[in-house]
Amino acid sequence: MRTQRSMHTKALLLASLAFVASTPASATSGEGDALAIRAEKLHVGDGTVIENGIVVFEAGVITEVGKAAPVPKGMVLIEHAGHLSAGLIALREHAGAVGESNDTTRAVMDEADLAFAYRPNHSEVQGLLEEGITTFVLAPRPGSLVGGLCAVAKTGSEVISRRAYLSICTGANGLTSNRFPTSLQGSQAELERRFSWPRGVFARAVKGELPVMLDGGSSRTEVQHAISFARRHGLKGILVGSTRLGEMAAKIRAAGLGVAISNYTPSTGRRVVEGALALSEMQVPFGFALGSPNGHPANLRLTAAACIRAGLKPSDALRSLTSTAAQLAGVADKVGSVQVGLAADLVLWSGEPTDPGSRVMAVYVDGDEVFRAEDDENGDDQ
Amino acid sequence: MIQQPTRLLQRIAQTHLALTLGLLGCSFLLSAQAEAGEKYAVRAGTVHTLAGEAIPNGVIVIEGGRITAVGSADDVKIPWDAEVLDVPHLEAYPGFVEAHTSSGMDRPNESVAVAPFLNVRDSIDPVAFYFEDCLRSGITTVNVQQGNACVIGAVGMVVKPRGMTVEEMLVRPRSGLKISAAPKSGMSRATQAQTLRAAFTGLRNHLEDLVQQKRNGNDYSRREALYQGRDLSGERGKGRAMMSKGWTVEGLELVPRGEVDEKQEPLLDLVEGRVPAWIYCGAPMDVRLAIELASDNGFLERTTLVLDDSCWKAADLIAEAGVSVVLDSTLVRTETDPKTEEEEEIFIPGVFKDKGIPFALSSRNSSTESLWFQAAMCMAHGFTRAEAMAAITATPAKILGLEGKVGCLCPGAAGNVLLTSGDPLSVTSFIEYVVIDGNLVYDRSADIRTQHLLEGVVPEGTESHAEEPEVEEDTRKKAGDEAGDEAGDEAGDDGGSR
Amino acid sequence: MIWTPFLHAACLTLCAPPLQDAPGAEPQEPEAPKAEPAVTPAADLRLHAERVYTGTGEILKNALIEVRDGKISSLRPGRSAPEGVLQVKAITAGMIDLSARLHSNFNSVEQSTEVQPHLDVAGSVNLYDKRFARLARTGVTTILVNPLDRNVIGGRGVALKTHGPMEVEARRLKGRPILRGAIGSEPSAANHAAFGRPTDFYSRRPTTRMGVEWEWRKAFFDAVAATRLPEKDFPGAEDLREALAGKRTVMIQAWTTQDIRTAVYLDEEMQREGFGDLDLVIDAGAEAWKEPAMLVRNSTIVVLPPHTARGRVGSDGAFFAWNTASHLVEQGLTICLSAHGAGPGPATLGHQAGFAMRGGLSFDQALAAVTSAPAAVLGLSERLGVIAEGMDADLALWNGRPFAATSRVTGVVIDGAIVVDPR
Repeated sequence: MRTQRSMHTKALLLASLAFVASTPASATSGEGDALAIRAEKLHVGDGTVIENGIVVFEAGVITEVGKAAPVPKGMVLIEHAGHLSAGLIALREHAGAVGESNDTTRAVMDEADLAFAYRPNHSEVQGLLEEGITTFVLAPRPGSLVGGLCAVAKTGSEVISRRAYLSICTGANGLTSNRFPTSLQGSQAELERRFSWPRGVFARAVKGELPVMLDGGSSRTEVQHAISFARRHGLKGILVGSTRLGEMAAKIRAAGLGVAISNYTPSTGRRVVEGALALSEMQVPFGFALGSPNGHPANLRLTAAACIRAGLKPSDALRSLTSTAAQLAGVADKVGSVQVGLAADLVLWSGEPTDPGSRVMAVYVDGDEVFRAEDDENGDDQ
Repeated sequence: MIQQPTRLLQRIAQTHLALTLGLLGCSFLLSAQAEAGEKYAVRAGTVHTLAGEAIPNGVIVIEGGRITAVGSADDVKIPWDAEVLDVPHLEAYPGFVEAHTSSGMDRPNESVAVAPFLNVRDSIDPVAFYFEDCLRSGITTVNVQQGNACVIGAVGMVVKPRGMTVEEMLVRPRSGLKISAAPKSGMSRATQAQTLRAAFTGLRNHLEDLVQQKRNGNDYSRREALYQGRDLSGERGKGRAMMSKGWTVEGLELVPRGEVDEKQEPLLDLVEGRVPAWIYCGAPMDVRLAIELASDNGFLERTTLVLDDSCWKAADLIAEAGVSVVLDSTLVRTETDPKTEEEEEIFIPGVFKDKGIPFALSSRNSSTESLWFQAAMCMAHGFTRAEAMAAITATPAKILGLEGKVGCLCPGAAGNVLLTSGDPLSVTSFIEYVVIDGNLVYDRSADIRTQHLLEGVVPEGTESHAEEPEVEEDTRKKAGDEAGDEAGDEAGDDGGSR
Repeated sequence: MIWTPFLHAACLTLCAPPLQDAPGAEPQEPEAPKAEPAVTPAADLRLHAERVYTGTGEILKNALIEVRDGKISSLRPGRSAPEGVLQVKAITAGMIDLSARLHSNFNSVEQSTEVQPHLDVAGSVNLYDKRFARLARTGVTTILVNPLDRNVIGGRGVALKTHGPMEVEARRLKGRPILRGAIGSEPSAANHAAFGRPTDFYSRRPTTRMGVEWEWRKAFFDAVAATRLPEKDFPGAEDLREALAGKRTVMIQAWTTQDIRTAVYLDEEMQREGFGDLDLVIDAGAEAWKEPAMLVRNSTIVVLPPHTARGRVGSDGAFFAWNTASHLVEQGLTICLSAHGAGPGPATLGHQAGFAMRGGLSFDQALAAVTSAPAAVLGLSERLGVIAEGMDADLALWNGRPFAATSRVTGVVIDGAIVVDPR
């Protein structure tokens, strides 16, 4: 019974989403322009938690946050018996652009713009919302040396940055056997050439204006090459695509790079969590990658939970899922924290956000309620 | 020196062989067969009996194919009518023993999963290159068994690598039944185990049926046996109570043995202890099944495990079961620690030596994996010379039930002698002559393949040949120039005569 | 000695603990005058062996080797082993394999064009590859890594120690540059005629051995032509011109005698044309025994492949006689031996030296063929290949006579670090 109903709601939500997406962000829910939510615990995003905190937002932007934030008379105040946090951010994701996120016939697509591949009303995008993911970095799939410019997209809504990263594969992921380069020898010579006499996006990357998303490949030697490459050319940005990154934490820190942690899987799980702990210890900023539809959207939070189980502090994990990820993606001025002036991208949780047992009760993007768990009335939230 | 009449005989045989086979490379297989009672003697610089002290200036006397005397030339008298191989510059060693191989056969595996009624006798190819290579490597006794891709395979046999027919090569028939505890291709481990157990259940059911028939006064099995033309005379016509340590069938004495189905009989032989078992284990987990199967069916004490290189991990289980093993030719195994990803090298014979498990080395008969090289590797890993040599002589002989018969130079043993230019475990030594059953069967100076490999033969029309023929003359003789060259006693020099 | 009170005072103020010795004072009396020279500071590592095969023709008995800062700081025979010193039966210099083939397969060769002299294999080397450690365990301390031979000219090789820092650039040995290529069937193996699949760059030359040979000549002719016609310049032309000028070694894989011929004739053609003289090394020259005269004429160095039981080696079916090494050495040629990788079989480089001895090579010649001769090819004779004071402390420690089948490498020292401890 429940599944059936859920299916209905999903269909309805999809319809409404399509509407939201097609209209500008000024559209707000409810009858008034403003809304307030009081939650038992409000996770600001910088590590602080406000008991019985209130967040007020208007026209999609947060206007007040605090324990005693004034709620204007007549404004609807939603009481939430649970936790509230900023929407989660996935650092490397392909949802909504499947099949159009890369072109392996060309090795270098320096001006490719992933924003053009984004379809906000794609069914995969809905899956992200149900897991509380409100923002993600839309990245090309590996397959080219230079895959293009990554976009930062609001889930089911607009693109908020078209120049988040230049996506580069320094490892074997960028190779195919039927076009140049077929080998690491060739790819490294090509990348060396592009970055040693840089023009266009490469020049901006070398100047530090455009961060890079470096997919070194999965093996240790490829990661090593990626780090050396970034250092040699003074590149800033994040490393992705390997479970070996934690083993190189000191080198990554020395290179001033960040990391997007890969999904926890049965075969790589131990390395993923140990890597996260090593990165945390070396104070390397890291977020979490997702890479759906191959990975289920739930993996973002489950990977974080696995790291917590291995010893990562829950508050650090939540930061990596929200504010740190926003900083790494260059959109900390827009999303990632529950702060005045930032977008009202909020998730209401049944419990601790990083507890895998907690459920997403409601999701707001730009102040609009875009998802609500329909069996709320069962009262099974803690 | 080889005496003149025999030499003539050899030359005739040689020509005959070359003609028959059209295979020049085989011409060193000197095939003159000693008549029963014919005498042969070897006088060598040192005789290493491997059953006592080395004997300087030693003599080995072989009569009717067996060693009758070994000792110092001062003590042992060479019979006046013996043919003598007088090689004071060489050392004598017993021939090496290959405890288990599936080489030398025309296709080593039968696709029928349970086929104990097969016999490798029908598959051994006397002119297989393998047997020729055995002589070069000093292997004079070979246990040929079906390949590992079986459930229950053929009955094997021990042969010597010489002779034109299997009968001529025969040392011991029915040396054991081949069984595999590792899955035959296309089968899972569960199916393999199930098929193995079912084979023995099938035997039991068959025997019980026969007994029941006899009790019912039904002579169907007798008529079937007669119809198939089976021998029912003598012992075959009599019944005998079952003699097994595993399980028994009451009343089997009622059934004449000749009436037992031919397809089941080899398994009954196994259960009753008339043939040994060679059980292949492809992974440590197979060892448990092998031991369980052998002990359930009462043949554990006649079982030898043929091990894959991973099976060192089951050494404790093997030691507990008290069985002997034949090792894979991979002696050093690299294991990776799944956590640290560090590699560790395991020297496999060392593991078995430390556990006190009798083990034989086995070769795939290439330069790096032949028995002498493997024994040398054992010394490199800390074995004494005696321990290393035992693993290619005495231990495999014992495993084959041929203790004192092969693998040593002692009275009563087969007259299998290697004559080496030095330490047989040294890369710079060569096996110059091989004597099997008192017959000279290998002479390196006539071994064209070895000469070609060790010295190369410069082809016509190459630049060196065209420009500097005198260099060629100095260093080697061209193929074709050797006709009439009789310098047979130059063995040990690299003169290249043949 | 210039040591003013002023300096002394300055020193005292700078150094927190006061100086023990008065300036200009005599060195301290050694405790055991006859054993150790007084001024020798403590060594990082000391090794004692019954026999040290220096590689310079000497066998030092009961020798003590001292190592400091990764180099051999002293080497003295006739010593008894001091207390606590690592003791072994025999020591040779660490072995060097010029054809170790520890490349990362297809990642190491850029097949989009068949001539790639400007590429460097270093970027594709995987130092985490377990084969490095496996080779080190067999006493091989230095190797040359070349690209996989799927191109006519594959690029520049890189010489590396088998143990050391985990970055290729930090481990790279700066010796003579080596340009790697191949003659034979392998460079054309993946290519096909343009029927059916014209979009794929494997539909191209060379598809035959002739085509491979033609590509070699074309590459050198084009490189020379580009000096006069700058618009004809191409990536790698400069590398080829340097090879013609003898500034880098050209190492060509050629298994069979006709491939070796092609390589030598190519060199001779370049000389005839006045383009230059290649410094030629034949790798995997299995059939070099067939026509040694042309190699002598060209003073070509030959790297031999591993010995096999039946003599057949490589994809081109060459026949490698076991006396090749000794025969070539007799002709006055320099040879190196190789094991082509790190197993999984038991035939290590040490065994290859033994097998070459089975074919008639003397011990000293065999030792040179796995140590000093390859060191010279790499242009690293100043550092590697023999045991002498000042050389890199790369040592193979044996439990018996080196290269004998009954002994093996039980310990390995690379740059003074014990990589495999024999204890």
